[in-house]
Amino acid sequence: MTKRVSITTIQVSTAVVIALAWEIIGRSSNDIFFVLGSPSAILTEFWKLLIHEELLFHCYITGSEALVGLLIGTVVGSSIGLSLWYSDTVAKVSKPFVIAVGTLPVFAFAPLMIVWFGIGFKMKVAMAAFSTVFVAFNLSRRGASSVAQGYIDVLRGMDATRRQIFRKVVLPSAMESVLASMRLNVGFALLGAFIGEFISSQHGLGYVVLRAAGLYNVPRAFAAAIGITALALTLDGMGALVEHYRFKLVQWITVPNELWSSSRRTKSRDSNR
Amino acid sequence: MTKPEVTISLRDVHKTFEKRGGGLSHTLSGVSFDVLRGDLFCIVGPSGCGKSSLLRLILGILNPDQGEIYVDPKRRADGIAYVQQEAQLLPWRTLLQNASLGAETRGDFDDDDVFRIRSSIEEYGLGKLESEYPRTLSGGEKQRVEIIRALDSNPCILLCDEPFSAIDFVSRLRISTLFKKMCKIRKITTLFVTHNIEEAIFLGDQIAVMSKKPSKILSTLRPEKDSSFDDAVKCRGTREFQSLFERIWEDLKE
Repeated sequence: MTKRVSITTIQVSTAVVIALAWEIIGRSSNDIFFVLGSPSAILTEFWKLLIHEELLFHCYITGSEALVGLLIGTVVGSSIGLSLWYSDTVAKVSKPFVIAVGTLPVFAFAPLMIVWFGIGFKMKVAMAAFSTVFVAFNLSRRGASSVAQGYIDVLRGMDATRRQIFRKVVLPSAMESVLASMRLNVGFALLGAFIGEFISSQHGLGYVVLRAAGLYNVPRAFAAAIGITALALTLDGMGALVEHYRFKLVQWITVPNELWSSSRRTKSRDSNR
Repeated sequence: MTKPEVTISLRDVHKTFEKRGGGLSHTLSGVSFDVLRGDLFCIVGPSGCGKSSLLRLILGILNPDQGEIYVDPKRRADGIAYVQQEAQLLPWRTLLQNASLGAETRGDFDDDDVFRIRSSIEEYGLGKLESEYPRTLSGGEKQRVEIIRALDSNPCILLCDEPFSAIDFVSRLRISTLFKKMCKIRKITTLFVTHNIEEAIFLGDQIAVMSKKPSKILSTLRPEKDSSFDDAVKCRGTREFQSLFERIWEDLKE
């Protein structure tokens, strides 16, 4: 038996043991079942949600709130973060403000979001955007300020303007950090959308959980949590896909057309790039 | 005969750096030399003698503490290129895209540029690799790309910081022969720093020997060279090569 197989076996059997223990404890008395539920009840509820209660629709709502918020947060945050590369003075002056804003718990402002954005889709997107913008800002700023000096010197040797240096070297180089921040932010964006739904909602996974808990239907709340996990994995997978093609993405932004959509293609040494 | 035109001139240049963790390092202590137009000027000196700082001073990335640096403004405006010790290829660009970086920054990039760059990639024997990313290239291949990129800007002045140090010995001989030919044909004023005495002897119209820190120029030679010096291998057999080697070695020993 190879090592890989044995590790998988241990993982699977651990999960089975935990599920069995949960099932046995859950069934031991009605009181405990009321608090903990049981795996079989969760699966039954999950199935019910999927068939009768439009679970996929709720996933779609929460997912699109998180995704739009994530994109807005990333674009705004990284634009500001990257632009600080242009001026050391602005970067230094803004530092205490940035730290102050960064330490603010976004959810403290959740009620204000209703005042600003109403109770609909926009409010959840705003929550998601606000929870992601700071991480995006911070990581992209750090990415831009840690670009290898050697790369910048190459462009300086070519008498490139500061704008060209930014476009050809700083932006592509910091793209790595921007994409990393995006994947890190998937969780925060979902959390933001979720809290938004907690405050006020008609649909979405937060709504399902809130209503299930309100009705003391613990298995249903757990079943909705499965949906959230699946959503997080999907978004993370999309991030991983973008990260995989980051060179192509960067070329699309910063390399002249003649060079990346080249008609004469030679076979690559490693074709799985 | 007209007086030769001076393209780069340094007079009594001093430069001191702050060491990491405090203290000062007196790197350049009164460096003076003249590079004539169209010349291949080699500076040979031990590792860490401030050769790279010297080039960064001439480029204007650093400023001298004392002394004067003159670069003919007309020649500088016509183009200056800089080849670094380690090829600085952008990892997210393919070989072709890296080679064309200079042409892009000059603006008005079009198909003619692509054609010209492709043909010099062929010339340096990299034609099959144009879609590769730098991480799959060897040190020598990267350095060739760096040289293609530098020469593509059609520079009047070329500054080289040990460009061949990462290349294996055999390719090194071949590339330096090609490099010398290119510089001569295009009449590029080249300042080439190296720690390799043999490379300096082969390449240099003028050879300056630099001391350890605090560095200054110990001696400047302008050797007589015949046609055997067009080839990096052939020149090694000549008596001139031997005697130059011994002279420079004597200077460096101290």
